[in-house]
Amino acid sequence: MKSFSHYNPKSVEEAVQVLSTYDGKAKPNAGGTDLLGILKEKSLPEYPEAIVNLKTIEGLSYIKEEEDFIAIGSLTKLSEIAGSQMVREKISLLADAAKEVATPQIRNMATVGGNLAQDVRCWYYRYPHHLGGRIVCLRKGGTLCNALSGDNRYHSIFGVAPMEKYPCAEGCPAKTDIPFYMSYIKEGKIDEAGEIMMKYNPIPAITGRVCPIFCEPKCNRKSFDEPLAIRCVERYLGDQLLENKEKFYRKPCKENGRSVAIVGSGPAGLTAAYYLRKKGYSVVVYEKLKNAGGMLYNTIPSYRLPKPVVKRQIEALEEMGIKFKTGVEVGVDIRLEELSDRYNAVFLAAGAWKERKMGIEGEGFAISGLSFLMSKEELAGDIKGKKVAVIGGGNVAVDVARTLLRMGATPSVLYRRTKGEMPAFEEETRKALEEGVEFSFLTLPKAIKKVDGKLELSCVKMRLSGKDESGRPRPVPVKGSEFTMLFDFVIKATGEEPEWEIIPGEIKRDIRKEPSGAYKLEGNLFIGGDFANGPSTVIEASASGRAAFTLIDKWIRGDREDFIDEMVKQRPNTSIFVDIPRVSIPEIPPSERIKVLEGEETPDVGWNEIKKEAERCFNCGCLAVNPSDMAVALIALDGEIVTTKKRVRAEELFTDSGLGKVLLDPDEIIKEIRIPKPKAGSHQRFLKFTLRKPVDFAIASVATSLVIKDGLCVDARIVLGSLAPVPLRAKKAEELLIGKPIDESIASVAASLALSDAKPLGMNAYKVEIGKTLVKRSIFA
Amino acid sequence: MEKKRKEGVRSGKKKKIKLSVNGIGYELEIGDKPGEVDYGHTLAHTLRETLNLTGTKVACDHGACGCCTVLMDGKAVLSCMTLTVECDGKNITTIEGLKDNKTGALDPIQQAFIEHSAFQCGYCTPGIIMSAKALLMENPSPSKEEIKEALSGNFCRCISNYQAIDAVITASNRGR
Ligand SMILES: Cc1cc2nc3c(=O)[nH]c(=O)nc-3n(C[C@@H](O)[C@@H](O)[C@H](O)COP(=O)(O)OP(=O)(O)OC[C@H]3O[C@@H](n4cnc5c(N)ncnc54)[C@H](O)[C@@H]3O)c2cc1C
Ligand code: SF4
Ligand code: SF4
Ligand code: FES
Ligand code: FES
Repeated sequence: MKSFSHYNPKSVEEAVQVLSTYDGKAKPNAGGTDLLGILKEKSLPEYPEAIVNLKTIEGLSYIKEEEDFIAIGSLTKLSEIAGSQMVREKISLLADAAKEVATPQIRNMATVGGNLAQDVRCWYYRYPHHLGGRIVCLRKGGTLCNALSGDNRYHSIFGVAPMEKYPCAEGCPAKTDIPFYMSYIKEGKIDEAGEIMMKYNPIPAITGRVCPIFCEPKCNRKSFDEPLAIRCVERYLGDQLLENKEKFYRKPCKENGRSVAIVGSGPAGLTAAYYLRKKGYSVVVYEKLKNAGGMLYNTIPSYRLPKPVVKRQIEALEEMGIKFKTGVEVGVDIRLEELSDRYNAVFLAAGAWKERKMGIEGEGFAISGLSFLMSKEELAGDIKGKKVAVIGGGNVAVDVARTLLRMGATPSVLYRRTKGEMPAFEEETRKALEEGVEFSFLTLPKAIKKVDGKLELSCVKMRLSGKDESGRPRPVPVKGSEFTMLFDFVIKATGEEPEWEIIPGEIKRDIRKEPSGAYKLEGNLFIGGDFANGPSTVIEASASGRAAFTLIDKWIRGDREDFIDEMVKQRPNTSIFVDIPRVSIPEIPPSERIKVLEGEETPDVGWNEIKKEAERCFNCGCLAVNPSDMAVALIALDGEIVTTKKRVRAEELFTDSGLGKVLLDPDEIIKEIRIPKPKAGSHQRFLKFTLRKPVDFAIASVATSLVIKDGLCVDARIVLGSLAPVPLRAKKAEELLIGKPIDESIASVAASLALSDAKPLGMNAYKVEIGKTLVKRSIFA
Repeated sequence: MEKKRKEGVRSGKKKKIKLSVNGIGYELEIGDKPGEVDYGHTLAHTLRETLNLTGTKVACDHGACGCCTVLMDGKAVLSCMTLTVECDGKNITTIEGLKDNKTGALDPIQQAFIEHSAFQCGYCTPGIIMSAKALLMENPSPSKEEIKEALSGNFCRCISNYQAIDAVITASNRGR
């Protein structure tokens, strides 16, 4: 064993004090039967710097009978508990469990506190460092649970201990709980999946088509084969939501009598409108263009986002009772102050539409990219067969170039940095290149001149040198590299900014640049989306719309915290491992793609494929089971655990509420366990199945505590050990027994019920029958 | 801060631990020099490497086989899962301490093991005998079940378990 500092505290206070100075890098040692194993293997990435011996603390080893409970000091040895006459008489279940732990020698050393606080026994987790290096599995901060795809015969049959934060969800600007809705899709439950989705993102049919996919690169499955095709599933789900809009975009049950005006019908506006309406606000959306949908409808090309999809989305929202006033420009047709007066709040989500100036000579000859995308129909005749320069490297530039191609023109994109620095989505640039769009990188236009009916573009070649203030490589002109090119049209797409003029001059407005943020200005004005943050993405704007909703709702209701999330549902247990490749998302070949302007370039994927893809989701978490026999017994007896920081029911201490969320703080010590004295008619049983008796940990165990009165079961606690991440109460079985006489047949039914929610993995299905048998015998034998 | 914490333990006069092994008192200095006890040393290591009492065996070194069993204040414990620095003031008995010091006679359990050939390779034997010793000290006339239970933490790869149980029965009969 590697060395460490070592302390022999005399009191609990002293032990806690030492532990807390080490800031998580010190470990208490009781019997050492668990801790020393971990130290010897060096299986954990962090080796403790100090060990604090609890055995020198006096007065922590006792078994006391109080008026209505039995108190046991945390340093009491398991052999003492197993051998105590009083424990055996009053709470035989605990004595039996203690007796079932390991071997006589270990029971002479092992303490009850150490037993409750011991670490998991997963063999991947405990793999010794000196044999080729420790395994950094999910529980240790890695990306994969090795047991899921590997050997899981000793692992949970009731799913995983979920992660506190999922990498996929963290990647998504809306923090969409991806594994949660995937779990439902695996079970074919579209409604439930949709319900989860809508909590984070109410426009998935749209984001499922145009999102640059923030989540997939973070998906853990990439360390195994390829990431989950999350956007593909999202699109399917989004289309289902629109197809069943009467179910998912329902009118609120009651109106709350307040009203909000939203300026702008892009993703931020639509999202805020949805959540506000759902809460009973009356919502009116003002849109200056003649079609609602902002960028979504008006500029994103149809081959990426078909107009009917946007239309259906707007219709769904309209059916919720959201009113859209299109063709009304705030600041021109109606004053902002008027909206302020008329509505309880105004949300400005007018996007970023104003084309930034390049500041070059002859800029007036260039058409703006956004206006081209909006009015391409009118230009169609003129542009066919023409040579067109597209200046810029963002999404608008690439959309313009790909649209031009489809209109029969020859676009040439001029960008002053290189492909690597292009702000456009990689997927879009790739497709543009496949289709034959020509790119001139490191090229900066300096002037546009009209020469014989054509446009002459004077350019200079650039090179990258150093970094600019945004941290990107700085393009600098190469001396003497000036040249000219001739085009029929020049379209500039060099960036957009919000039209801040909407806001009257006297209101101070500063830009925050936090893509998913929303902010309150003076009075009842709120801003969000690209209008507040500059050009971003649909999902970022949508997330900002949701943030705006929260802000507005809270503000209008005067900060009363009564918005309780109605969806605190138990996550379904659906960790499975399927070794199937990622769904191949069909793509129309480039040569075909460029022939059509309106048709969607990515065809639909069918339900079977979608379900299979969802099954690929690992539902990331840890499959290890809590190995403590005493915990199972203590929960069945409804015991309490007293630590230096809290007094909790054992059942509440052992919760699978997130990886990394450990039972105890590093400077917290278990002091005592308390077991209420059982009522008259108590029937207690602890049963444990292991491979090699006596030394092995449980494959399955059951602790059952029943109270029988006048021949009927009046109270039942049945706890399954080593079958789930933490000891699991078989509540369905308990409910069945209440009020009934106990006989063999009811014990059989209860046993089946106890295991009915099990979803075994590849190698641990055998645990189901063992679990049933133990439950049955624990009730009736 | 970190430095201070460590100095608190390590600097100044060398720390010592006192323990008795087979009735002989030892004062061992804590440190990383030969002959000293490091914080990371197990009792099994100290017995074998520092005190040269190699009768205690280490097989799994993980608390799972019982080979390293010794008596600590009369109770059978695993020396491979015990930190020596936490044995201050303890009375340890190892297999070397069972024989009668005056007469040199073997402990009745040892004698019975020889008579029953209760071993083949013998690697597990010291541990089994120590477990048996702890049992007979507490319960001089155990039942067969009680013997099985007491030896249940000792594994024998050579399958001499049956002979071992018989040997303990013989030893307990003699003690009567
Ligand atoms: C071969 C073998 C077989 C085993 N079989 C079983 C089995 O069948 N069933 C079973 O349940 N267990 C089994 N165990 C696990 C075993 O180590 C525990 O049962 C034992 O009770 C742990 O107690 P300890 O005092 O030795 O813990 P330690 O090793 O001292 O501590 C365990 C952990 O708890 C922390 N800790 C200790 N005391 C406290 C406290 N009071 N407050 C806060 N934290 C504390 C320590 O820092 C450490 O992280 C087995 C172990 C071995 C080696
Ligand atoms: S079950 Fe848990 S401890 Fe074991 S490999 Fe999976 S994540 Fe790691
Ligand atoms: S496998 Fe599922 S839960 Fe895990 S990161 Fe990928 S999508 Fe998220
Ligand atoms: S060596 Fe100590 S139990 Fe195996
Ligand atoms: S005699 Fe060889 S291991 Fe027991």
